[in-house]
Amino acid sequence: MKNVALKVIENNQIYKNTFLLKIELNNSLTNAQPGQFIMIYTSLNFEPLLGRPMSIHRVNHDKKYFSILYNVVGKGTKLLSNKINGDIINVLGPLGNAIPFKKESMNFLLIAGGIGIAPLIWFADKLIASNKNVVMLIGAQNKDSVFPLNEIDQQVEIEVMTDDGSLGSKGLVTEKIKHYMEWVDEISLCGPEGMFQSANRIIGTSKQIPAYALFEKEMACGIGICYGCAIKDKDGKPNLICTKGPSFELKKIYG
Amino acid sequence: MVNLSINLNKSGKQDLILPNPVLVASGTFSNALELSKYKDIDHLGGIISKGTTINARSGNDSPRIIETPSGLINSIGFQNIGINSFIRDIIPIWGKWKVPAIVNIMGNTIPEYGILAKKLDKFNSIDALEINISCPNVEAGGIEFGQDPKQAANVIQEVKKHTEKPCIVKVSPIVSNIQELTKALQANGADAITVSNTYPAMEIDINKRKPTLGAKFGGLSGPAVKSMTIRNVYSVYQVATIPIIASGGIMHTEDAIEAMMAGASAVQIGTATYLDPDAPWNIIDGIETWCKNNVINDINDIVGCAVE
Ligand SMILES: Cc1cc2nc3c(=O)[nH]c(=O)nc-3n(C[C@H](O)[C@H](O)[C@H](O)COP(=O)(O)OP(=O)(O)OC[C@H]3O[C@@H](n4cnc5c(N)ncnc54)[C@H](O)[C@@H]3O)c2cc1C
Ligand SMILES: Cc1cc2nc3c(=O)[nH]c(=O)nc-3n(C[C@H](O)[C@H](O)[C@H](O)COP(=O)(O)O)c2cc1C
Ligand code: FES
Repeated sequence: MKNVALKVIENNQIYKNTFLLKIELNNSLTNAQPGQFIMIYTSLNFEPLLGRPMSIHRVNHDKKYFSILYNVVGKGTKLLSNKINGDIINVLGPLGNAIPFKKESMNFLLIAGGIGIAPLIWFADKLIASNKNVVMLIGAQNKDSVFPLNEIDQQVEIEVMTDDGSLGSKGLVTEKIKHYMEWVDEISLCGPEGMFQSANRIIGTSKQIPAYALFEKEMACGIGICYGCAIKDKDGKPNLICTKGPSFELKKIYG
Repeated sequence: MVNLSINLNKSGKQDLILPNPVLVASGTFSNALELSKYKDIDHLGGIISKGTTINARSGNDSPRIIETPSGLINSIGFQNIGINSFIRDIIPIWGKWKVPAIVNIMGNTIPEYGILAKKLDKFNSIDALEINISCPNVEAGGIEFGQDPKQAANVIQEVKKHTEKPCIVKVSPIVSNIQELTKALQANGADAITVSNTYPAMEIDINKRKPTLGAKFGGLSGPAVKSMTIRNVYSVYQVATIPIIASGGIMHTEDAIEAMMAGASAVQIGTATYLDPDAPWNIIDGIETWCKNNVINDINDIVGCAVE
């Protein structure tokens, strides 16, 4: 577990407020799995002080890079958006655990809210590579904030929902879940917590399908030594997202 | 060869000799198991456990962490596994390590400190206790033990009744007179003093018009507090008869050297480890290199050298 300096290969704004940053691959990141994340240090002079947790968006072994997909929301991501080809950036990872799934499951429903799509694209790649059926529900504010659909594996069946109906159908992405309940073997979600809660209400009422969501909390270390990232489960027990997660089963957290 | 080893317990019955002056701060290293998978723990000057209480605690609601300009406010709320699990699950692992091992303890009442000390006293693999007195005294209406030199003295007396181990008292930086507190602690049996814990702090989310942290208040650490650490260590050194351990904003080798020149015999690395898990090890190497470059043969020679 080492904080390493790696070279930026590319950093482009690919839609609305969202950037795709490609960084050279090192040995430890070669073994990363979908669902794992890195801490990325946007400054080395304490301003801002802490690393920023970012999901690994994709690993490209042939071209020897990995990427992160990020929204510019504050100080750290603003600095990140200024990085250019050839710059050096410090990174710690891969951290956390892969999104769990059962080998025997065939039908997967992936639900992405906003920037929550970042880790799910690569998870879909991997599922398709192992001959699974994948449906992806993509929720976004409007057509300008939808991840470029042509960048998603063509074998993934996609449904888009936008808040204003400017692309796909209008409404919340969780409204679609019920159409897939008969078909689906496993569900993975990433996005805002409100989405997880409403998904849990829908999934929980029918048959028990494993549903794993990638949770987020403020992180200081990413490696289990600060206890900043704890999420309390339904029994009030704290779980560190960085070392035990970031994926947790919805029913473990919400009951 | 530079001598980096220091003795944190010159007066007491059991020596507390550290191979080098770099400890990892309580609550910033969990219980050392995570990093022991990747690093040579035995190379550290010493490890200090997460603050441990009688019962396990689940900690505060989130957010537990917020950033400030060059600082970090935390309100973890003493999430810890409790003393019995600590004894069962952690001590056997620590027992295999050579590194000096210190347990940080915290009570709600004075008798609780005694119970914690007694439970730990029989374990040879525990080299010392660090007593956190910057926490609310439930019996005295929630005022911190460390705010009143008399209460602080009562805590150390109680602990000393139940253990022969060296006792380091970790104080709050916000006390009316840190020199009076130091005198009270050393007169009542403290073997060393950690200066200091975090600084009471908070932030308000102006959009929500509410405190940002889940628990409203927290403690400030990191580079932002270093110069206050130096000031407090310097003041304490002027009256101290016991060794001082500096804690607060030690991010680089130079900060460690500076704290030692202000009077600290050892330093604790906290927030710096979040930015780079190698930080404590890098600072140990850095101190050695600094000594060589400055023709210092014994690190003890610089302790307090800047205090007039
Ligand atoms: C495991 C994990 C994986 C993540 N993966 C991604 C990803 O792939 N792409 C991406 O764009 N973001 C991701 N995030 C969120 C990302 O870490 C934050 O958006 C980022 O830290 C904000 O930094 P900043 O300095 O720009 O914002 P700050 O100036 O720190 O804050 C600006 C705003 O962002 C909010 N914010 C800060 N930290 C977080 C956080 N951890 N989660 C949610 N909101 C936050 C603040 O509340 C504030 O409103 C992930 C978070 C976690 C915990
Ligand atoms: C997240 C976090 C948790 C902490 N937990 C404890 C604790 O349990 N007991 C304790 O005595 N100090 C605790 N501290 C204080 C540190 O041990 C240290 O004194 C403080 O952070 C100042 O040093 P630094 O600036 O190097 O971090 C904690 C600090 C942080 C940041
Ligand atoms: S981020 Fe520090 S324990 Fe998880």
